[in-house]
Amino acid sequence: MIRGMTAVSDDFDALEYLKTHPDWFKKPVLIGMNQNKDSEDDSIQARADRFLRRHRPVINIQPPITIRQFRHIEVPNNWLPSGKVNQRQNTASSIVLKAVRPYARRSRTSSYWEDSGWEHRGTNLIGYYKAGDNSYRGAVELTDSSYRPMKFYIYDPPSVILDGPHGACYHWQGLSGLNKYWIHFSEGPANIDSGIIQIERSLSEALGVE
Amino acid sequence: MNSKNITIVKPGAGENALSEAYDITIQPGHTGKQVVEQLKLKGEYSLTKGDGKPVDMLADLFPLVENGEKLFATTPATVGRLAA
Repeated sequence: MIRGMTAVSDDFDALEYLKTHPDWFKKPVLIGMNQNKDSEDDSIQARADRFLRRHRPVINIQPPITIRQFRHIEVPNNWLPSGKVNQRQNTASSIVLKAVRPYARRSRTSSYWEDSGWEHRGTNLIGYYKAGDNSYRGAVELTDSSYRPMKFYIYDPPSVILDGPHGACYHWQGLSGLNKYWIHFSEGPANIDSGIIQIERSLSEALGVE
Repeated sequence: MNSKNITIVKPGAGENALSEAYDITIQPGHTGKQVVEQLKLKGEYSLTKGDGKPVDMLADLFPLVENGEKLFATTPATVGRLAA
């Protein structure tokens, strides 16, 4: 009796290869191969071989293994591969190879505005909007209230923006002596990153830069 | 290499909200739209590269990104258009 297990591989192509080449399971599993030499070979066949060898204790019990015993091999095309080898289910009578859904490890990370060099200054963020090789000083007035949206500002915007079809949506706030404009959003951004990125895109579009 | 590991950054909603990073493996043929759907992000998201350039959500993402690259998921916003 074959001691079964569930083997989840992160190698989508190797699993596909094993799925379409059932004879591969009849291949003797070599023991004591030179791991270093073998690891240099990145061919699908070599990876399939490595996959089987990782499970050698199971595979060797009753070779050859027929495709009928691997009837559960399923690798949906739209699944992304990842995951880990799970050898806990050692009581089944078949070996199941499967890819897993995309591995989405969640963690905390820096935002676009942080990566772009924007910094806190009081209740504002101060930084520069990028548009190709150009950059324009900007500010974001932050708020904790969902009823009072964030406000985005730009200093000394290019004339092509102010003279363009959307120039009316740049409202001069220059009473402080600075050439500062509040930027009106008809569809307000849900977060800081979205606002900055959309402003940068509108600048790039107006300037004709990528 | 037949797969690439990328990080999708979903920005936090408030001033102090930290962004969430999703590490994901893609392969040739996967689009940005598929990635966003796979991550089950609520709302309409598009992807932006670190230099601010947008990602074509329907194009094959694989050749557009480098292994280990970080992409930012952003929600729709419209600049400079007065509400009708």
